[in-house]
Amino acid sequence: MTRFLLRNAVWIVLLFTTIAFVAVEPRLLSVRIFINVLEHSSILGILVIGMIFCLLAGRFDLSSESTLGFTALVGAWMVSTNAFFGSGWQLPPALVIVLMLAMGAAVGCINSFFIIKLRVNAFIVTLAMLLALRGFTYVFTNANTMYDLPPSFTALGGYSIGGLLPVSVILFLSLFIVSQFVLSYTAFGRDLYAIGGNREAAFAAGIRVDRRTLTAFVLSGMLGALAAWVLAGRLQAVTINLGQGMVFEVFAAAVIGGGSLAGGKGTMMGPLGGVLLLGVITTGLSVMPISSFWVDAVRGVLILAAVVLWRVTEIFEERWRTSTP
Amino acid sequence: MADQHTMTPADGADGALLKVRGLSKRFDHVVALDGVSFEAHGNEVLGLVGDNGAGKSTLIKLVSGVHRPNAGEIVFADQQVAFATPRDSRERGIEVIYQDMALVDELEVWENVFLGRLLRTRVKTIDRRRMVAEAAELLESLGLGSLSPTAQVGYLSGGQKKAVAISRALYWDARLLFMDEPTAALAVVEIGKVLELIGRLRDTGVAVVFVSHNLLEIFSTADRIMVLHRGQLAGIRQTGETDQDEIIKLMMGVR
Amino acid sequence: MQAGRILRHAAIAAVLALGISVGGQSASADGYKVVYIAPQLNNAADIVIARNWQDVSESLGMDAVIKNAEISAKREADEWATAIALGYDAIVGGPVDSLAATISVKKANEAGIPVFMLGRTSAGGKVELIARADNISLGTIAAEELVRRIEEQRGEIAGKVLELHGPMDQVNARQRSEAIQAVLAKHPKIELIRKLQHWTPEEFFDITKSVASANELVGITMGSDVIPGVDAALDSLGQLKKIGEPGHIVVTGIDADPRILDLIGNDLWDASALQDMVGYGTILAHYVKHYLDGSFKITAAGPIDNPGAPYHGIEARWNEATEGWEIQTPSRPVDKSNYTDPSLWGNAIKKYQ
Repeated sequence: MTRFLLRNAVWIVLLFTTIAFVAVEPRLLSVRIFINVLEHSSILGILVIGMIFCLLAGRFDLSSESTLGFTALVGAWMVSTNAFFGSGWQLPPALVIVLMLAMGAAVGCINSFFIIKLRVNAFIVTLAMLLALRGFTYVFTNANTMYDLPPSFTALGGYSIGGLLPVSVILFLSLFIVSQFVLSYTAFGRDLYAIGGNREAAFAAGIRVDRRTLTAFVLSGMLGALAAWVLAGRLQAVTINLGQGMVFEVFAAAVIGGGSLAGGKGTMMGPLGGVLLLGVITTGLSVMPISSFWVDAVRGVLILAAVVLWRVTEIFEERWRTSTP
Repeated sequence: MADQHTMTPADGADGALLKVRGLSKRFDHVVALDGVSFEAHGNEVLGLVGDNGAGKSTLIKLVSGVHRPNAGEIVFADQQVAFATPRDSRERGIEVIYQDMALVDELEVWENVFLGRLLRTRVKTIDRRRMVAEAAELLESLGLGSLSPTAQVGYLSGGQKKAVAISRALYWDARLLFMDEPTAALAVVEIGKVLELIGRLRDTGVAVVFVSHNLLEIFSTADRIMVLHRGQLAGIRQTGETDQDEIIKLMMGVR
Repeated sequence: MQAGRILRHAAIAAVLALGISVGGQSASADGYKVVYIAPQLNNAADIVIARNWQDVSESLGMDAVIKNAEISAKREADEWATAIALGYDAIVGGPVDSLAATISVKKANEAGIPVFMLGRTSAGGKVELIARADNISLGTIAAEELVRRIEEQRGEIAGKVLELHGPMDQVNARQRSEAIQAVLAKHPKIELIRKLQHWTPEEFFDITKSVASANELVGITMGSDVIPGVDAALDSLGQLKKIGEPGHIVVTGIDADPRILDLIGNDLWDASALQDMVGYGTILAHYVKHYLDGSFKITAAGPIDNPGAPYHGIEARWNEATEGWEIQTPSRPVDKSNYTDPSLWGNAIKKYQ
């Protein structure tokens, strides 16, 4: 029971944070705001799923925010109907979406190649990829904002069922459920735990470590591209700095949700709690009549508090483990 | 699946299940194994001894596909093999119980038993229920019924972990089983159980290669004893035709 | 082993090299050689500033080169050192870091190369002329246009207004926001909701959507409309209405991004306060030419008197810190009446595609 509570601490924190916010600002207690939190969380959530796949395998993927930015801009460039800033190709949205996902997958392949074949540290590889894709993003499109995107392209990110429930929310929650299922019930998911927990043991037991790692990075890349599609649709425009700095929130959400940077530990549901917690904090601070000067500080302190709390639960869990014969 | 290797428990056509010729391995400039040749037979325990750094672990890792040799050939069941990964060797019926046990602490017992070879349902999801049941049965048959298949391995004692590692190798009905220091850090009662187990395995036709520092254990269990010294084969003796003094001399490189 | 390590390093280097973006280069012409060391060339506004300055300078017979500091103070110092060593007739800066750039400016001063600043300035050293936008004017016009249009739309100047302002440690963001607040403070029935953002579209969208969900807004204004997100947020709430339609939320911005010009054309955006990058770049290019020719130099504060020059009549002020003159080009509103004007930077940029 104690262990269960510790493992799900993020949901308890989420509950108390929400109650505290609503107590201070009753206007937060509305369906619309609740959905705003989910909608805000969807992009971060999709990226976090990719990060968790990599983290479980004991690797980092810092590049997903850049994958998002790059594929969003290139995709918007290919699909835009704007005469001046688009490519002029006006490719069919379905094709562009496939190309974006393929680009995301390619990024994952390149990351994996350096990590697996050349055995460069994943942190360095994906950091280099982060910078390289940023650079490409600037070069590719003359640094313009891309807009005039066809409605069929923006529907995933922009359409709301009944004008209230965004498709992106359904997508993001479904993705969490599916990926939790993948982790719990497929050989791929279980192998990731083994690889992250003890890579040598996994290899010696015959797990295809390289192939699983490749799959994790490819998934992360494709999820980055998927997030790009959602975000481009939501904003109906794409700028070159799209996604910039999100890697910190991705890490924060993963860690708050009980993901281990050393790999082999964690679930999808914990980080989902982390994502929603960040969403509540951000949306709550947007609605509350709080001085602008305080927003960054308050958000920083709340995130820090969540991370500290996570660490405390981890220490408790370690004690519990060592005290058991 | 689990019993495909039990059809021909005996040796290859001309006697030996495993034939190793001139096996060598370098790590950078360090020669870990230098032209080692030997054979291992079914229904036999081959004791493998040697000082630290003699090349015992390297030998196991070469035969099981963890490392690839720089030179030499491996013939397993009359077929020349070049395992790229441990997955390939496991598929042919070679199991290894590693000294460091090669378990994943974060996972539960059943999952460690089935590590790398998870049983699947018809829709390709993992068959957790069946694996837990079979792991329980396996533990029971090994006299480890008190160990829950759903216990997390990280919380187990050293002896219990060793039991899990042994269970894993046994589940898959190995034709050739390497046991790298299986008795290290075990209580006396547990050591007895392991040695008894080795004997039983031999009697079912398995070729067991048993690595130990403890010569008493080797002499009481092995049919033949193979000695490595600084990466080279120092000698192979029938247990009944040698004594501890000779083996120790071989281990120290005295001829 | 050694080969493997070299290969690995080479691979990393290759990835990093791919990330380096390209800088502009100009064709050669006889005459003065001048260089503009841009802080960055990663957004439409900075590209327009650089390219327009280059075009105008070349049309005046100067050999104009663009260098890119890529938002790195270190890279910027290197570019300045190179420019000084190459002996350009004039260096035009736009510092990434105003304090760090001061050292570079002083080195140019020592080398006897006149220094000018475009869009931004160093904190010291001697700068002959700074040409930049007047942030107070930008904020004032954005707020005045907002108030006027709220009255047109609603019949009275009352209700909740959202202001998306940038970080207050940025001079541009602070000056613009203070000007907006000063105007709105004169209208007691306006309730101002100020929200901090860091110039990301996600924030523009999320904040607008959250605030508009919890409040009935009559107007929105912001520190820069180069960042998208506001119109999409209103659209997703079903609150993006055309001007004049019931429930239309008045939106005014600052800068007049090309995308905003299209929204204005579609009656979905009310107005924007123009940051006249084409204007101040043109002025600076002409002034540099005149300065190097020795045909005209500003000598006193007040309206500049050089009939025929594009800076004629603009007020010059003395800048103590940079021991030189400064002009701040005033903003002007852009709306349905003038959004197709080719001199707007949002239209001018189309020729650089």
